[in-house]
Parts: sequence; structure tokens; C-alpha cells
Amino acid sequence: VTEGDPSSAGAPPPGAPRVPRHVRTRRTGDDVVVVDLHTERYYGLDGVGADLWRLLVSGHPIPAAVDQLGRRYDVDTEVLREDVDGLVATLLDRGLLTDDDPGTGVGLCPAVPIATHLEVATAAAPEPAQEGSR
Amino acid sequence: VSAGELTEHLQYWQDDVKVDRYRRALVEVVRPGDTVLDLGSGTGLLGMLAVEAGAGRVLAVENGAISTVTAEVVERNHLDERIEVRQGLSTTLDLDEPVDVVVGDQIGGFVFSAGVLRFYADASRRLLRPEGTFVPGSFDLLLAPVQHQASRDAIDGWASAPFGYDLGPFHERAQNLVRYVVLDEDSLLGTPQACGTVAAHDDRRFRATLDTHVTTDGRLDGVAGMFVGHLSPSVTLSNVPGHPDRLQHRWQDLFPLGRGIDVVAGDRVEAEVVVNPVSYLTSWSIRVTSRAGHVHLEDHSTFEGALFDPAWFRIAAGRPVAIDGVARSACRVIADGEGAGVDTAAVVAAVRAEHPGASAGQVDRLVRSLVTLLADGPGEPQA
Repeated sequence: VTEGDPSSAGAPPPGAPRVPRHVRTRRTGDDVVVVDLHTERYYGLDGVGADLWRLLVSGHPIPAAVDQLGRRYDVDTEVLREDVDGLVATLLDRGLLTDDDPGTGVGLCPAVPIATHLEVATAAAPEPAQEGSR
Repeated sequence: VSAGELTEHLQYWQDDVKVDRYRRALVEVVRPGDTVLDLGSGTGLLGMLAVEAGAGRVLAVENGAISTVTAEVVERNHLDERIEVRQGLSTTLDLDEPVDVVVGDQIGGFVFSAGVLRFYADASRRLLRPEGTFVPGSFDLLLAPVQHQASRDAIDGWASAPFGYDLGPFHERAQNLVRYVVLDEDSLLGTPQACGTVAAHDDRRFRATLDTHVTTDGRLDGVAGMFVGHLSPSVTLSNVPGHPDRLQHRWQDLFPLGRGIDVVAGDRVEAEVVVNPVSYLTSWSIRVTSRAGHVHLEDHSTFEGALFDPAWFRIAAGRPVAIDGVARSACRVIADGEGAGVDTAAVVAAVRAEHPGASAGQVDRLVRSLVTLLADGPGEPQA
């Protein structure tokens, strides 16, 4: 994801649920598979769930996503909204959505409890490369 | 055995730096009469160096079919009383007595890519005596900002809409793959920075970070991972361009940017690379800040680049659910078997018993995929 990605439909308003940067998405046909890089757990979504996810990933706030789904499926708007709210609650609970701002800092896993076995290197780095043309 | 494979192995024999450093390290480490495990022995080079160094016995384990030719070489050189060649994965090997030394060269470009850490970790747990020695014992990991035209072409080509066709999905995959590249000193836009040391037998997930400034104007195509391996207390081996112990035939791992960014000396480059040496899931994030304050940030992962079978992810389609439990069960049940001749139906039944909610057909497809992968190697997949 590049900052200012033109495919984005606009960032959700502050505080609105969004897909965090460490949750990555793949399409598999009509379905969607996502992985939480922090836990390395994989999740599958299909049907309306997959459509909702694609809308969220492309930057749609949840109300806009519900509108889109309402146009796509012949379903009562209130029922759809309740279903979406339930799914969003589940996704928030599992950390696949977050209310936090994604930020523009480097790193997808800075908060991951990765083993701290990577000690500071003792070997000196090699001399700087010679400057010149490539 | 393919022509390319033979050429690769010939390059190992012709790499004077590699042969010299391994020879010196084994002389330093091997004591007369030691038993040495040559892990992923290929054509037997390191095992022969171990015999030269005084090893009493060498067990050369190689999964590839090339091992049958290596056995002929051992016999022709009258080493068959000292070197035993076995075809198979070291992870399926059982020894009556643990060995004194494990030697290997599956270091790849950034240590993890050829799987050395998980095979070494297994050897450490099961095959090496507690006070035994690994060659190499540890690796310093380094990252550097680089320019690499061939990689840029290989990514941008998918975005060029040849004949008017939008190949965007391939463009997305292409920029999420780790690329094996051969870099020279002129490829470096900044000094390689040491970002940590990992023990050879430690297969836990690791994170390497870079925070540096560009020293040479150019186009940033990504961040390259490289290593300095500690073969023995006084011998090192490296693939860092310009390093005095640089291997003559060894690539680096490039973690690419989706689009090249023009940079000038003084621009800041930050990167994070997280690697799971067991699952191979790798993610990287690169942030470029120009001296004028403009920020370019990209996040990538091999999850978004790899081609995989959707069946793996349809075990419990329809609701968000972790599937790693089923996949992990399947791996374990298969691993509990004897390796060859896996009874797929029995594995399916055992996995279904643990996961009654998963459908038989989907579990069956998953197990068959895993069995096929296990048969092909190089190692056990883990989900």
C-alpha cells in the first residue's frame, strides 16, 4: 500500500473501524483470505463478508459500504446493517479491524512480541561503498 | 538432475573463497575422529573437507537425486569408509549417536531463504550432541538500500499494459515477492547496516530494521538483505558486496518497492523486515523521507505475492475462522507417520476427529496438498 494510493476510495473518518496495516488481503476467486501478520493466523471470508471486506480495504467507511452492499443485494437495509454490525464486531474482536489510526511510520510488526533473540551485531559493517556511477 | 543444478554445484567447487573459508573453519572446529553431519550435502564438498580436517566419519544427507551421483564420487575417491551418503531430509533422520559437528551451506541470500534455520534447529534438537558445534554457528544480518534495474524491469513490466491489457493483478504479485539478485558495490545506495545476529539453530521469527541515509544519488528499488556468517571463531563468510570474505557465487535477497523512488544523498530510508524461517511468511515495510520532507511508504508481504491453492483457505468458508488449527493438525499427523507411504485416508480421519466442523472433502484436499508438498520437499509446510 502506497501512501496516497489512487485506488483508495477515501480514508474512513478518524475513529472509524478500518483494516490495520498488518492485516493483509488476498482474493481467491470470489472469496477473500486475510492474514494477521502479528499472529500469522489466516481467515477466510466469502459472500457478503468478502464483499464488505473488499469495500473496507478500498477505504470505504462502514456506512458507505452498507449502502454499496444494499445496492448489490436484495435485502432489507436494517437486516443488512445489523448483519454488518455483527460481522464488524467480530472482526474488531479478532483484531482484523481497528479503530486506531494506521499511521505512516515504518513497520508492520513493531508491536509484535517477536523473540528478542536478534542481538546487536558485534561484527563491524563493511566499509561504505565507493561513490560513483552505476 | 538438471543442467542448471549441476552448474550451480560446479560453481560451489569453483568458489575459491567458499572452499578456503570452509576448509579453514573445519580445521579449526573438527577434532580427530569426530563424527560430522554434512547437512544438505549436495556433491559432497563439505564432507570431503571435513575428512581432510580429521573427521572419523561423515554422514552426508541430501534430499536431491544428486546424492546418488555423490555416492559414486565418494566411492571413486576411496572415501566410502569415511563418508556415508544418504538420500532424504535430515528432519526424517534418526541417529543412534548424536554427531560432534554439523556443517551446512544452505544460507541463501539472507540466511533464511534456503531453510537453513529450521533444518539446523531440528538438527540441534535431535542430531547434535549438546556441546556440539555448528558450522556456521551464527549470522550477522545486514540491510542496505539498493538500486537494481533487472528487478525494477521485472516489476514495472506488469504495469506497462502490453497490447492494451491490464495485467494489474500480476503487478501486485510481482512487487510482493522476495527477489534473489546479484548486487555489486555500485548497486548500493547506502552502507549496509548490521541489524542483528541470529544463531544458526534458532528458527524463531526475527525482525530486522534499517534506519539509514542514502549516500549516493539514484533510484531506490528496495532494501537488500545479506549476511556475514561466522563459520568458526576466526573464520567468516559473506555475501556483502565488497566484503573481503565475499562468496564468489552468492545472491542477496531484495525486498522490493512497488515503484522505484528517485533519491539523493541525505534522504532517509527506514525499513522493517520480518521473517518466519519456518513458514517463510515474510513482510517488509519501507519508508523513504526526502530531505524536503516528502514521505513515501510501502508495506508488502509474501502472502500477497505467493501463488497458493485456495482450497487451503476454504476449510471453514463462510465465517472468519482461523484455519491454522486444521492445517497444523494435518502437518502433525502426517509427520507422525513414517514419511513414505502416508495413508492419506487415515490422516484425513484423524484430522476430522480433531476438527469435526471441517468438511471431509476439504480436509482431504488439504491433506493431499500437504502430502504432495512433503514428498517434494524441501521441508514440511506449516500453516
